[in-house]
Amino acid sequence: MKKMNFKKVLTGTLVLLCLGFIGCENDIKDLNDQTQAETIDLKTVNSETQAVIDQLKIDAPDAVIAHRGSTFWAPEETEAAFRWARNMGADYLEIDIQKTSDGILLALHDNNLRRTSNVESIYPGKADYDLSKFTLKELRALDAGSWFNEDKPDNARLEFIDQKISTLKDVLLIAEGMKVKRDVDRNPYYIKVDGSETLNLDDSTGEFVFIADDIDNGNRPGVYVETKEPWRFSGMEETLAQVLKANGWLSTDSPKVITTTPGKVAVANTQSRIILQTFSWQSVILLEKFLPNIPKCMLLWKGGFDNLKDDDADMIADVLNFSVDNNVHIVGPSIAGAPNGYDELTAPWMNEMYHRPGFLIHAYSFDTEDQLKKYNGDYYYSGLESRFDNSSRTLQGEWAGKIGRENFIDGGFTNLTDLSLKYQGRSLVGVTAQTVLEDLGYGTFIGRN
Amino acid sequence: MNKLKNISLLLVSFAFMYSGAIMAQETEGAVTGENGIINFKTNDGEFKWSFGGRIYMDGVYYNEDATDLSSKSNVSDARLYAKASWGKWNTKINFSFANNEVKAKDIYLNYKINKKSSIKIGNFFEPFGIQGAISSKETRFIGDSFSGDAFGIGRSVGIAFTTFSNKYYISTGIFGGRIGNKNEGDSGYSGTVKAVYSPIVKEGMTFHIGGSASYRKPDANGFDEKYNDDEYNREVIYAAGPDDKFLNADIKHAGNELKLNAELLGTYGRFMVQSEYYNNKVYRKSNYDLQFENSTPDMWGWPSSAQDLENWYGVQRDIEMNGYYVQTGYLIKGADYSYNSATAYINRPKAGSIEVLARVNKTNLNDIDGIFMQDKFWDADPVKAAAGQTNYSVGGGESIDYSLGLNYYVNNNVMFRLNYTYMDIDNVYFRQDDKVSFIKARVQVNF
Repeated sequence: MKKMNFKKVLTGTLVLLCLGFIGCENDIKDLNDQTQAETIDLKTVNSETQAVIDQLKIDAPDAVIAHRGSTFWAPEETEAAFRWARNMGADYLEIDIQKTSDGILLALHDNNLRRTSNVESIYPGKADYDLSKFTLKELRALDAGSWFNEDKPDNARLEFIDQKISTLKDVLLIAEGMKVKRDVDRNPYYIKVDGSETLNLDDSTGEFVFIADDIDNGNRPGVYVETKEPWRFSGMEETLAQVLKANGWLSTDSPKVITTTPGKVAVANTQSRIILQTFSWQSVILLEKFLPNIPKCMLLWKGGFDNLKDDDADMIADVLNFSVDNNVHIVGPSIAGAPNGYDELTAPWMNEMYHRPGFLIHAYSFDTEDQLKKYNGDYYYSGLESRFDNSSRTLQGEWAGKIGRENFIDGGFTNLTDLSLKYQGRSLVGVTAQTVLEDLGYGTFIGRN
Repeated sequence: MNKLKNISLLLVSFAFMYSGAIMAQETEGAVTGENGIINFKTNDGEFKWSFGGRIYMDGVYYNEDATDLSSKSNVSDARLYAKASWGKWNTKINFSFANNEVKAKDIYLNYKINKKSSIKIGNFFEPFGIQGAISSKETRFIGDSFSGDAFGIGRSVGIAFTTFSNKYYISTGIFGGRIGNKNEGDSGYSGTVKAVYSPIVKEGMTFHIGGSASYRKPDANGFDEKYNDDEYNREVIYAAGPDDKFLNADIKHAGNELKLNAELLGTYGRFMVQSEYYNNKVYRKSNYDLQFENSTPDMWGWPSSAQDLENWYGVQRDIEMNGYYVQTGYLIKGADYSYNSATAYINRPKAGSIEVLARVNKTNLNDIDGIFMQDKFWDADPVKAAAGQTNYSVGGGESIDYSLGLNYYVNNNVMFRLNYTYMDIDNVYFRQDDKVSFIKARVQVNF
């Protein structure tokens, strides 16, 4: 009987040796991204943050955010681009702010001025310098428009030549319906130290003189401000709070009343008039410190360790939990597709993760109708209507029974405000990007025919 | 000290040449079989030569949580060895051929000063702890505990002195790195000592306690092209468990390492208990001075001192890790356990024995004082972390595992082993993995 037991042990061991072969079969659940995302615990926003988010949903639902004013129709982050976006009907004018050596907050995307100005000619040998190496007056001497005519010859216009780099204050005033005062030759007037006006930049403070825009059509967009890494511009967030307050744009501290027109964009007169955005974790903390309860967007960029290392669920959860801890209200992921070819950070399963803590999603940046359809869920609907045409449509697709509104965006940064508005059914009959440009005085086409 | 490995190899080579000279003086002899091993022995018993080997045929089946593991059947070890002894000398050469790789195992020359003392030179186990100093064919479970795997030392090239009695066992040696080290740069070295006190060694009952210590400098990992130096890229790796995934600590910028071990072993009739505690400290060697000397200023700024680099990237602080296990065994069939003072361990149970085992093991490869985000450690201060200040924590993982085992010693040459392990995991790099269990089986042949 005992021998039998030993044989059993022996036989059992041999059988178990074969377990390795059985184990070669796929023995665990398929951990695709969606499955992982579902099992991850995420923090949720607190009630104070939720209140700001709820207000955003009222003030600027389905926000159309004019990326740098426009990168397609006009030279980015110039008066021409911002006036066009305002009159076109964008909900927000989007800018990147940097700080000059004399402490002025100024709109520029790149780390230097090489791409978007004639800095190489005006300041030889300094083309790769950071903006903080120049004063406002030095920067106002640059032509920030001609490069666009060469870069986009199909959209080149005479009036873009010698467009100037913009300050944050300029953008706020344009959003309020103002424009730069110019002479008949389009030369801008500058403010002198004593408050008088001059056409001579050298005699001035470098600040523009603003007047009511006679072509203003009543739209009052908000301003969507991006801050860079704080180590590049020390004290940026505090200065930003001061500039916004000084100009009456700080909704939490005695904001000024900005007159709006029924039927027109009116975000500028809401609590959501300013949205802050950054890729920088440190800037998120500083923005919360100096600008609490102002809507904040955590931008996502795949690559590197200091934003989002990879697009897997664990990495995304890290950033979302950080965002909850620091009272962020919006997540700003990149979208895939031409012409930018950014990484896909706005897939349906990702959007569900972004929404779960309570965040809104403002994705960047839209250039095509296909992208608008894709990230608003149209390809999961058998009909032809968008959610703006039919808010009760039922989505279906690879996650039958699961796909829904939570898998798609709440707004987006766009280089073609006209296209985004048309997609949402908000464009006006007879109004096109070109007609708006012509109305605003940028009508002299000098591009190729 | 770092030339010790080369000198040791040279001495081993001379020893084998000497061995050849002895062989030339052979006399009449006979072939015998002892414990299943074939021996060639001269009639006067002065010269003995034996050949042998081992085969481990394994199967493992994992029940994973998230990360897929490699369930498989394989031949995890296949070895051939030759031993020779003459008078007070003996020597061994042993190679593994498993996984289509040839690996040198025991290669040494041993001189018996007397019956209780010897000097060994070559490539062999450093005297450290229980599991770290015995052959895998003698371990109770299949392989060492995860703590033993992670913190054990294994073989190195060196020279060691061992002495023992029925009350004590002492072994100490100096070693000059690993035989398989192909890295450029100076190899590491170590000094290791093990001492065991055995207050009870008698028929049917033994008890011993002991301790080991090893002070080590790890091998260099090549020369840094920029710095032309091999001092700042040494690393210590502790790894164990399934596919070395969930327990894996890679400690870079290692300077020196201090390993400590406390051990306990007792038998009472057919019952045995064995336990070890490991504590490991890696002393970091900061390379910030060298980085600063080689830093290049640019328009974005540059460090004004090595301290700036430490402020930006974090202190390259020392790392401490530990682990322990307790295991018990009971021979449900067979004679009492017996103790071998010469090895300070239990003898192999006799043919026909059946042994059941249980073990609990905790292994902690985490030394964390920063914030973990995006697969990286940042400063513990959230503001500094958000500013990009990194941290030199190590998140190698922590686990507690529970194992059951069954050994059947079919005869002196063959045994069957069966293990089950449940592992509770906490590893920041494998956040989806909380628990893994697996069954291992082995057919073990020694000849």
